[in-house]
Amino acid sequence: MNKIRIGIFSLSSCEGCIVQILNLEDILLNLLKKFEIESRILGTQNRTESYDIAFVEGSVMSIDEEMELKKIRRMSKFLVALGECACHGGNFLVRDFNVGEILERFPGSETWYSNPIDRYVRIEYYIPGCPIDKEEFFTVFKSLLLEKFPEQISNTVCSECILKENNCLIDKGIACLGSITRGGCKAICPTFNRECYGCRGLSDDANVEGLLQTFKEKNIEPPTHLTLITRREGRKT
Amino acid sequence: MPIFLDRIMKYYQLIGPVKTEKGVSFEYVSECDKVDLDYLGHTVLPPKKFFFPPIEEMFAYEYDETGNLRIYDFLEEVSKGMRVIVGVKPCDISSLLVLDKVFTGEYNDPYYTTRRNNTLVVGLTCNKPKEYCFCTYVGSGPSIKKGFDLLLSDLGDMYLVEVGSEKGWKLTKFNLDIFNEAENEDIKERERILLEVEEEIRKKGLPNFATIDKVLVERFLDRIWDDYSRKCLACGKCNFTCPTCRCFTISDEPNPDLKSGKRFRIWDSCHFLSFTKVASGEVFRKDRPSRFKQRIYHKFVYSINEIGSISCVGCGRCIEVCPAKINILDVLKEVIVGGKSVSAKVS
Amino acid sequence: MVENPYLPKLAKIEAIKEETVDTRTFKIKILDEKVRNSFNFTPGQFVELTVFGYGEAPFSITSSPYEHENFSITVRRMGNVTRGLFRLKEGDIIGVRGPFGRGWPIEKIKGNDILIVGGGIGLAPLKPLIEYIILQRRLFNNVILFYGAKTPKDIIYKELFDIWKQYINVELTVDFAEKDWGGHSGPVTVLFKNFKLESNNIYSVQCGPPIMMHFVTRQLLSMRMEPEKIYFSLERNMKCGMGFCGKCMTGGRYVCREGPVFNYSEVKNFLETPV
Repeated sequence: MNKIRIGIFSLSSCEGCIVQILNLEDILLNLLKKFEIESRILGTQNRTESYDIAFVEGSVMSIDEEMELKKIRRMSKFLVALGECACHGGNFLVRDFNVGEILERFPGSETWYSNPIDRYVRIEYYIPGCPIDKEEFFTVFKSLLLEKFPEQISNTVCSECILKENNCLIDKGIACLGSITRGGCKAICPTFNRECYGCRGLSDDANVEGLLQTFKEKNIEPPTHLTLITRREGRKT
Repeated sequence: MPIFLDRIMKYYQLIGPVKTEKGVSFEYVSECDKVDLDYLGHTVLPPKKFFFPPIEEMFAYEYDETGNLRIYDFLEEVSKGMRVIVGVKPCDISSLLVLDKVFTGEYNDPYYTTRRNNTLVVGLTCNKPKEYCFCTYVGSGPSIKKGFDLLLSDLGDMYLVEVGSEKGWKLTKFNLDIFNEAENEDIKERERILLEVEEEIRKKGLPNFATIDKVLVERFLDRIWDDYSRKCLACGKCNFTCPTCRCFTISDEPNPDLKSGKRFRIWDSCHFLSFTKVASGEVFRKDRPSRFKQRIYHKFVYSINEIGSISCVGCGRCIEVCPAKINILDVLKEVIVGGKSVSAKVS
Repeated sequence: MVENPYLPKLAKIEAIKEETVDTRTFKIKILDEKVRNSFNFTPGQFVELTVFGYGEAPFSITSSPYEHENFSITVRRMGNVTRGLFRLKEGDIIGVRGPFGRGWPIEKIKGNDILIVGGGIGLAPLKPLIEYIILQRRLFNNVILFYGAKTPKDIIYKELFDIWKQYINVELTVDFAEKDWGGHSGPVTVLFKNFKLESNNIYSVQCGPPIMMHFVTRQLLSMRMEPEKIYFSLERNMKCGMGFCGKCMTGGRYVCREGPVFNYSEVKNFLETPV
């Protein structure tokens, strides 16, 4: 039986998404019998010529990474963006920082960038989230082996939150972004009373203006990183 | 009541309103003293989830030793065992009657109907409406005439029990030691409580919904829809919390061997852009107003042709859970009182 | 136990025929003899076809209603199910549910002139009707087929046109002609230039991309064809085929159960106009 070659690569990131994959340990051990998995962070330096599926985690923050990414693209049949950083550039990770303040204190850092990988190469599929949902990863993985592209999840975090019969955080005056955020995370944050901060990107046709209006009516301060998320509106997830 | 529930649990799987840290929700009951029959109004998710679960495994497929493909129908699992669901409010019973009509007819949906046939419904008349309840306006509460096997009414120190079916009668027959014959006064007391509830809801002064379908048809192109859909976050919560919403999508998931797998059906929402998407990528309800309207028109217009009545039971869940607090009653009121100018003419 | 209409019946791919670069016709045989014998369809009806692991999707039946052992579908590679189907070989097992829906109004159109308009792969659900008409030729008057495809290479059922031409009038056009293409070019509406409505006893049936059906319907209405005689087949996201899943609902009608074939007088009052 021909082995299917899978590559897992990491650009600028915390590598938390790869940890999520490693968390699939039981299943992975079985799968390793069938697949050849190569990953730089996993240690193997001997590169194969080509990959059937390459997963890329992390965003592009340097020219080197850009070149690296383009090389991976050339060698891969399917390229999957793994996690918030690869899908959207990880913008939201600076949500706790005041970007204006950074620029003020470190002049010249305007040249700093953190870009999603689809700015440089074509992507077959996106697995969003910070970190990714390991079950979603596995579903996508199995599907790609069949050359099937699972529908990009189109529901909202809200619609998964209600299935858990949670009480709405917005009603409690908390700036939750669940209503405009792509689902697939099973609403894990709101379930633990933590507001959704939109790590999976905007849902299809997200009504950001509507949510801002709702926040206004309820005297809720919108999170500062919402502008970062909306700035990339119009782009694919 | 605990004795009665305890006895039910000997022969049936019991489902009931159970207190959780988040409130009250319908769950499988393991200890009958956890059942809370005093819950106010309604639960976040209606009992629908026990007849039509959010994710349902339909069947599995695999190749047997001889290399033949076999299909294993999960309906066989569904049809095992009898269940009793207690504490179902009249609005939710009405919604099951709506779903009964939807899921039967030219075709029957076996997953739903099997669960319905497997499950006895012990209803509970409503003693106190919640903020957004409007059941009396759509004729689905605070009490109900059919759709239950037993119907409980809390009279303070005891429950009045109305028998609604042969199966319900059997439930009481084996428990005659804890039932006494009801007296006229008890029945009057129930009527008094129900009238009080009706009165409280009537105070809300809502318009008559009798001709709402005709009004809606005339106002399909009204500006109202643009205004509301600017507010609507299209999150789909109203669909999933609605006791009569039942749209779903079907999808396959392969097992790790890639040769076997399962088929699921999953709740879907007409508010999602992907709802009407076909393989070519074409989406038939692209703009938000058209999707905002679909839920309302399905419930109040299309449903009349489909099942002979509107399919809103007045539970008010969609109002309560909406993050943008869009109130369907405000929408309908606005439609009825004339709405705004028509933005386009019907061609 | 109750019969579960969601369970696909197993079937075998008997033959695969390449129509165009991205379109193939699959000949399918239902394995169970009883099920196979009770599988009767009206031209215009569809089946829900399962490629295990990939999912299920609706496809129009394209074979002649007189073919009993097998039936066929013509498939363009589009989504997951079709991608899965294209990976299969002759002899592979798939699943079938149906037939579903309301087909072409055969009884009504008997004894009349018929204008058949197809675009692209939209010819697929019309093919069984054409074959029915040819086999029962004396039951119908003048029959015209207008067919449009993107390029000559995208024409499906190429080998059949010559046979059909012996029985009915056939006119072809392509959006983008190549040098050796001697025929019409432009959208299918160009074929209407030389077409006149000669009597009221004419029905039209059409299937194609929504934009084509929109313009053809406008064209026919402007020629004063009666709205109830203009039929078309709608494409929607028909997941269950039985009016339960709600995804195909258009203007309050279930396209899967009440359609996919509608006439214009039915749909013109839909709140959501489909054509």
